[in-house]
Amino acid sequence: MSLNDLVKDDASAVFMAAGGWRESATYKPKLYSVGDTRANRSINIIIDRQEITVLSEDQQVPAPVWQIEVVNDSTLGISSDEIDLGGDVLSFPPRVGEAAQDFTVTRLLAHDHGMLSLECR
Amino acid sequence: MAFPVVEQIADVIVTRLVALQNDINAEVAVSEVVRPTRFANYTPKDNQIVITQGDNERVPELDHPGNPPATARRQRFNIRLHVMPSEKDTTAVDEHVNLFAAEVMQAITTPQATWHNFGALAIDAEFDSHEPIDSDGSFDGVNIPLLVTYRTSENDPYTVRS
Repeated sequence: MSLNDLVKDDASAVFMAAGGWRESATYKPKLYSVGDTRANRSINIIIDRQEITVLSEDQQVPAPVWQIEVVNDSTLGISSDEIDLGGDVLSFPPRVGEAAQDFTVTRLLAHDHGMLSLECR
Repeated sequence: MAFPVVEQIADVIVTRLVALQNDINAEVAVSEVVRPTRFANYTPKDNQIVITQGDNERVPELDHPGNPPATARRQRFNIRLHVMPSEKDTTAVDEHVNLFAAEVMQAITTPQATWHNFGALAIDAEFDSHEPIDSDGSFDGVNIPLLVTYRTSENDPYTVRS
């Protein structure tokens, strides 16, 4: 087993472990063309609910930001070669206990063979 | 519930932009028109319009004497256009921005002869210099500042004065 496989297995174990930090979410890829066959699916993610920040692009608008950790896999999570930072959406509770809402994936902060670190607003 | 003149002007701006959103023949398919709540009630989308207000300045040279006097103010509305095409989109992002800006300016300036008075609420309006959005990699776009000058009674911001 290669190091990349070990990293991926470790990430999968973290995200699939019941009773851990994982939360359920729905990945909703934005379809751009007829040939785009990506479909909505349920995945597990870890949500870092960050502080309110002022959006640099909109200056006067304070908004919450979420950092999402997800396994780099097209079945268990989201794969780095399928995600499109042009409208793909994650649906999750903005605060613990609230109902899920849709948030656009705005940035891919980092990724390796095991995990993606995403920013949602 | 009564609204002050400046809020009525904001409402007209939103109405004109929503008309663009609903125009199936428009060159740009506007996804939504948003006036943010205290904490942003929107998530970034392609072809999204976000309207915020900037400075509300006095314009004393346009005041009218009287009792009460009519005081003139100039309100800056920031009309921010968000562009967030697919990573696979091969069109230059500036082309998306230019097209979006043109459609929005056309929508705001309709009807052409009287657009500047926003339904007899204002005395003048003009667009200021466009300001490109400083993108951090999430979305791109431009801010179109709209300066609207209006006059109200000094002691009654709800009443338009000519």
